[in-house]
Amino acid sequence: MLKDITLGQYLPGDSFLYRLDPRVKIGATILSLVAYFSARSLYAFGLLTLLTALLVFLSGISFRVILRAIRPVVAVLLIMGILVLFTTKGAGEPYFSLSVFSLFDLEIYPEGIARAVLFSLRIVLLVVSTCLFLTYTTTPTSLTDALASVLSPLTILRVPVYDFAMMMTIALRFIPTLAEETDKIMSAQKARGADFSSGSLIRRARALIPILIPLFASSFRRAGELATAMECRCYRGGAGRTKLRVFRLRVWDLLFLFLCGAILASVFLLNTWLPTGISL
Amino acid sequence: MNETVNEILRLSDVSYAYGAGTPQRTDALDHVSVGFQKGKITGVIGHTGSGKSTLVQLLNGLLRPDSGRVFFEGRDIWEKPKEITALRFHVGLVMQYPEYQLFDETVEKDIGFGLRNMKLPPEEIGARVREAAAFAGLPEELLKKSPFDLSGGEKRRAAVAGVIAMRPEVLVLDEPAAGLDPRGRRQILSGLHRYGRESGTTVILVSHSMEDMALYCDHIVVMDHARVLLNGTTAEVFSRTSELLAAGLDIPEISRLSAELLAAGVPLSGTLYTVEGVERSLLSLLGKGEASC
Repeated sequence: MLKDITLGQYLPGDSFLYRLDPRVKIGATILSLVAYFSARSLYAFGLLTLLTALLVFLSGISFRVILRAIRPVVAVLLIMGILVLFTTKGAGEPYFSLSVFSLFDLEIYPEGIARAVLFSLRIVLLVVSTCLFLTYTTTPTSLTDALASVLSPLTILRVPVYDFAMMMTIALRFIPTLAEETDKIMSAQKARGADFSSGSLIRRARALIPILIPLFASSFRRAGELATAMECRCYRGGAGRTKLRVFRLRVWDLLFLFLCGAILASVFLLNTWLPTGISL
Repeated sequence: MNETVNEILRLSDVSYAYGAGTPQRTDALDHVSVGFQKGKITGVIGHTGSGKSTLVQLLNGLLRPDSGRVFFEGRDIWEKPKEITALRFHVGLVMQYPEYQLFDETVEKDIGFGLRNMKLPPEEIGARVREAAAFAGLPEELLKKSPFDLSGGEKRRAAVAGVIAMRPEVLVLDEPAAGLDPRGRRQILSGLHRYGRESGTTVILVSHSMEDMALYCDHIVVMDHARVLLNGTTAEVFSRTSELLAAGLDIPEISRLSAELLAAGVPLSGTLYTVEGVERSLLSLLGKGEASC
């Protein structure tokens, strides 16, 4: 069912990650992205893996949910990993060599294995920490509020930050609604014998028409109703709107951000002090 | 016994949960066993979230039970999962707010969508569309219009016609009268009642209005908290007033009155859930025979 998609879904819960200021979580996500991609030394990788595992443990989110977040990227990781594995040329003797029609050689070097593993690890860490910081523990509304707050200096440059934030909130708000709607329309057409999963590509594309037309019709209807409802409540653009929940940075938030900065710094230090022989 | 012989559909020990394996897991059906009589009109009633809509989607194989089995005419419908589309022509389902599924250029083409999926010849499609439109109470001149130009009630009837046209042995309708005004409600429900009687089709109606159930159904299944609370003929179910009230269902004013009369020692008998039935019973008690007031 469409409703079962986990990537991009808030999970109600309570742990220190839930209580962090969402702006701090955005900052922490950016810092961790930089850390994952600047890590060169194996020690730095080890440190980041340990810390991400610790984060998973402290988040209070079950390991199975985390695995489900990784599942959609596994196929991409496999393809990319295999490409990296075979395209990396090492200095020493290859572990494995096979000439295909004497056109090109398939060779596996120890460096290739290391690069493929680290490459996949990097992506997995990235997905896990982003999901933990942003999607699982932050509601879409507080996420967009936080984004608007982080980007608010741009209003000086006449960027309509608040309008964008409102558009994003609405878009995010309607993803589950539309998914549910699609599900319902699909069921209704299936009940009339529609078949979406067999036949040629063209047949399958044509089979989508009975879903897309009602979906568009109802999206326009919903958009119109929402606009009317917003006008009824005197919405006239986002600037100057006050919030029910005002973000306040606490000591712990600043401490956490500082900690993330310190980890990033130690990654750079490990890169220079304890470099490993593999070029990544 | 005789009852199971006449059954066309049966759920046997069926469970279904949404979001299995996540913290938001909710049980929609919890070991439910229930049968539906051939040629009868059965009402499924229950509170919001009692599992009614899940139940009807299991009947035509839109959902697959987590455990338990669904039988249509004695055969497990999931015996050959690839043939599930064929079952949907035998068990027709009209979903909630079906007017949002209309998509084709004209009402005629939209009603014929299921028939084209059945791969029927065009002449037969035309004849069946007209027949179904008549059953659903849709005037002929509307057939050439775009479904998006119809009124709410007309759209609803066009969607119902789209399923009737397939001539299913079982017609399942999830809240067919939801959101319609009292007149539209009566039109669509009495139309379905007449259709069921005239064509001999088994009709399963989901609703949360006890008044509608009392008027149109032979049998009633009462759902509460993912389980079947009561299951029996309309008279049987309406005699269990206290259980219905405990399940948070609104019983018709008239059965509330007759329940209080019975409790006060008035020996009423016969149909006690319609105004006419109670009137007849009271009059016969007073010895006035068939006179009406």
